Amino acid sequence: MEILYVMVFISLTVSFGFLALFFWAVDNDQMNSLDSVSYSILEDQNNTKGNDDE
Amino acid sequence: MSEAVLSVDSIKPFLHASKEDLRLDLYIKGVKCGHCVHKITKVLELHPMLQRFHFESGGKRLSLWSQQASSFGDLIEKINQLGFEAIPLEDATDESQANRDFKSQLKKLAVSGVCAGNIMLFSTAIYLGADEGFKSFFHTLSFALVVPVLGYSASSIWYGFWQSLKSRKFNLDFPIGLALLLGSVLSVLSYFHGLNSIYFDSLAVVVFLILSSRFVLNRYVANIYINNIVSYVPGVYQARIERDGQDHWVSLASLSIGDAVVVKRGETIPIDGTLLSSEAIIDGSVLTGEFSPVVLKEGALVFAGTRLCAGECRVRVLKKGAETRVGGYIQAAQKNHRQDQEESYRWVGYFTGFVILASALTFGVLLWTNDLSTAYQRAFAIVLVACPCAISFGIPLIRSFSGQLSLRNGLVLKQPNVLKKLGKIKNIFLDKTGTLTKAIVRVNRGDFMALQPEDRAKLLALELSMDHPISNGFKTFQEGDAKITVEDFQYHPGVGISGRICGEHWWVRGAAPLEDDDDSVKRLEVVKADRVITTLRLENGFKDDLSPFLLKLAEMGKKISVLSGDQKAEVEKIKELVPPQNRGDFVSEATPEEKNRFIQAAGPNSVMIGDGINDIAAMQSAGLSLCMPGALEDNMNVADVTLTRGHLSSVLDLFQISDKILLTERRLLTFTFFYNCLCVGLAAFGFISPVVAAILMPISSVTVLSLVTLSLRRL
Repeated sequence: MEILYVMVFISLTVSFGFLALFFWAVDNDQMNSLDSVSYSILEDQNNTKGNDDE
Repeated sequence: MSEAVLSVDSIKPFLHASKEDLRLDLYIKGVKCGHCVHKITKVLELHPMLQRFHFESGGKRLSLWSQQASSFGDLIEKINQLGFEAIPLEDATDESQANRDFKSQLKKLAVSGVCAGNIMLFSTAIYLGADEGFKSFFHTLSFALVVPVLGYSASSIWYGFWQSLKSRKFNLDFPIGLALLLGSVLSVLSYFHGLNSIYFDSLAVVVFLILSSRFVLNRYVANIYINNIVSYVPGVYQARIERDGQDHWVSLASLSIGDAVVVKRGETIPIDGTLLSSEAIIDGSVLTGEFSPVVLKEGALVFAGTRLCAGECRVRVLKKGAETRVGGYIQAAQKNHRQDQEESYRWVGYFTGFVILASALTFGVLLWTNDLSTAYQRAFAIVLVACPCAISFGIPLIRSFSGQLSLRNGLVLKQPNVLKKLGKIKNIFLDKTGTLTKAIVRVNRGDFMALQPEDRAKLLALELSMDHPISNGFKTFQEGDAKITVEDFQYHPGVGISGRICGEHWWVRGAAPLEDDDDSVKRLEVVKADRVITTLRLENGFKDDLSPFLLKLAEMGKKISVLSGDQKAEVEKIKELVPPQNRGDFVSEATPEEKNRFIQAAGPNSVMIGDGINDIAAMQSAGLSLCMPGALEDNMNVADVTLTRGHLSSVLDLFQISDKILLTERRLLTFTFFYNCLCVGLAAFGFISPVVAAILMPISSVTVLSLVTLSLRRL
């Protein structure tokens, strides 16, 4: 059963890893536009400037 | 909007500079669907200087990034050419603050989510019978994970709780903060003493759910407001000034009192100020409803929102933005919204007091009859499940909607309780002239068509050389572009207009009515090369929608009265349009004192709709007063509601909005009453746990929002 301690440690590490990634994304303005990504489906060309590329 | 590309100077106040680039935020007026966004996107994609862009709020808000400020002016021009209006947004400080708050909310939500999720996994293991060693280990981990939730994620709740304690006024955060504090103390003590009353899981999940619901609500409300804020600010955000012999567009924010603003034909005057030019023909209908342009001389006051009809003029800035007269209307609407919010906060205080009492009573009784753990669980569940959403944001949201709906329908409400009062109105008193009669004249078609086609074209060219109510009467005869040039055009106030067409001197001026003409008919004579070629009848009778307006009021069960200074025959004509059972007093040749007397006799459930100086006393005495466009300044000051459009249907819109708003409020409060009675009862008897209560909390909030939006969408 001692493996559970390792598993818990891994799961917490992964959780906090994702949390750190999320913080990084927020700090880099990745979450600024939550409701306009749906418009990207209208674009049939390579969008090099719009929010969907960020 | 502009004739030239916007200058860098004009955009500068709106720019947000960072180390790498410049950002400009725009509100795009006219965006309705994904296709609109697609069209704008194509333009942005092709611009070589633009680095990136963001659409927000359903495409209505656009952020642009570039290293060169000059490219923004070009882009705004291109967007405007597509038929939209790109309006630079100010408040860079507020924007960055709002952005920081948004990021902070997201981070707190993420921390609470990750920690609560892990704590719930440990709790599941404990509930499923983990052995003592693991139980103790999981409790320790839960304790470690709940610390960032309570210390960091719940900081906004603690702040609200502390503010409530400091101000000694209940707010929404008080009972939640109190429950979290008691739960935390109880859990920590139990943890160190090896007892079972450990609620780290409930505490973390509750914080996560509360933050989630608040985040969703904030986004929802922000979207509603961003779509409406700019729409009701007068369509002016920039002004043209002359510098070094050239015109430059600058933001209103950068204008100073005393600056001289240049306004050209057809443009809206952006500020309140004094006229520097010797003369200007101004259309002030947006403020007064009076469609006849007025000729103002040097030194006269001109107001923001009014329009220059001809030529060019210079205006010295006296007031700008919210300080202008039209800005005052917007401020009045916002003040109403603030008063509504303050009222709702007071009721939230009472509600919270009731919830705390119910929770404390339950806790006390259960502590006496059961154990501490049961008492705390149920008291905590009561605090969480009780939903003051209807009072805290449901009612303010409805009132906010009502203010926006009113403005959209050309109604400026000066008092927050107008809509409530309107629900009780039984007697409607109407003035005749200006209220029930037309502000725009109509040119008799037969008279016009009797002219030779060549003369018709020339007359049209002369009339359409300026914006004037009589000229507008000719617009119905316009067919394509005649391309006839009018030289030496002149406007002669109170007389008519003149000009030279194909070498001939033309005049259109007022003429005496003929013997057979009705009282409401006026005549214009058309003079070509000093010879009167025809006289045209101008019809200015009752408003087209008078009959359906009166019938609709009758249908609503209102008693209709007319108090007019006009002759009996005119008042009788209106009386004939009102069903007999709804007829009130139809008084002709009434003095202001008589009008006042009738209103006083009718009592507080009466509304007076008027526009003249002889209506002011009656409007003051009435329970509610409405002021038609074109009214005097004094009438506007007295009136509870100012109409900015001349249609009588606006009055019906006001009644309709009032009915709908009051009905929605009643539905909302009924739902809240039954929901809270049921859920608080169930929680007190242990049928709802704290976690279930925390899940019900956002559900009830969403239900309230859905009720409001579904009810008001049809308006």
